[in-house]
Amino acid sequence: MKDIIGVASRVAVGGVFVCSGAVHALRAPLEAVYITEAFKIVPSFIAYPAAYILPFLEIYFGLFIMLGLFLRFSGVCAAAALALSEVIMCQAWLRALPVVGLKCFGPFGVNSFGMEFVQNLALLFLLYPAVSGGTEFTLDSLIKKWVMREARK
Amino acid sequence: MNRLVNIRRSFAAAVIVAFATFVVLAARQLGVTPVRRAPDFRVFGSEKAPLQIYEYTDLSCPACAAANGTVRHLAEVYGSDVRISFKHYPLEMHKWAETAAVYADCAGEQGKFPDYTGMLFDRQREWADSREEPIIFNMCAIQLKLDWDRMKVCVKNPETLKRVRLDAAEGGARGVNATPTFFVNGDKIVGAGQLIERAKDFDNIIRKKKHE
Repeated sequence: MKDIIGVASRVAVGGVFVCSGAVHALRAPLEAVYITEAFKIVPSFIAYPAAYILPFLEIYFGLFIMLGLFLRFSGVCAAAALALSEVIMCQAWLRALPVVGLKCFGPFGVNSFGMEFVQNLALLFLLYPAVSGGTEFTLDSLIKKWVMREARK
Repeated sequence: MNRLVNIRRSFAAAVIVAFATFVVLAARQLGVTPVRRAPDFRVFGSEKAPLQIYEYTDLSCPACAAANGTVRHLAEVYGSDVRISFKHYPLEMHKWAETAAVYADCAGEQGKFPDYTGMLFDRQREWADSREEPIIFNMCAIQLKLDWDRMKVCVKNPETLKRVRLDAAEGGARGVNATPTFFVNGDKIVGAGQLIERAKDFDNIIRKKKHE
């Protein structure tokens, strides 16, 4: 059972990261720049490169989590990213900043602060079973077994 | 042994990264991009209409002015079977295109987008090459009995300009590089001539969509 939950959590969390990263990577980067600027925590010269690079990192880490590659490291990075985005959203909410366009899935709708917060929190909780369960069914485990089999020969 | 495991893991990671990057860049090259909804005042027709047309337009562009009549005519002919969404794509070479787009959106917020843009298109020669900010933006507003104070606030609001620039950025991501560019049910068409040519298929498209 733990294995099934682990694999399902990995697919869910990784899938969200991949889909969200793909939408962010394919839309006009200017949109991401405006959203980043609206949070008023980083200057524009950081917002621009971040808008180009972050979506790709989302996709990479999403794929790593889904496939179970560098699983612990990817899980920690994803958790850090989610926790950071929660903090950033909270500060924007407390400062009553007019942030619009919060969304994971672009054309499929725009989330409110609360919705986005809860969604990230759920993903954060799912990361634990994703990293700890079903580790037999990961690329990490496959590669390890492969190397051990070669070593035995 | 751990070193060997890590080397192979790193190799697998590099393959995944390269593959994912290639797929995203290829999709970008093909103009695959999520399309943002245009504000309601720039959308005409039912969401379920079988013909979904997006027009990327530049209010200073003579070809767009010429196409405006064609688009209106299509809207009349196909009625509830067509939905037209206007997106701004002010070309850099047109000095007042972006400003005009901002004014048009502000007029749109007061429910007069088609009338205001229609006037700007009709009198394009009077203002498109103007050295100073054209007075026509004000004149059209007065003629349409728009609330000028509200309009001024809207024009100065950075969010209005952002919306125009986002349209243009989205157009760029979809491979738009000339105006007017239309997307008819996702297919790219450049210029009113191609749109008229394509319109010959509209009845078939509508029939097919209705049977789906």
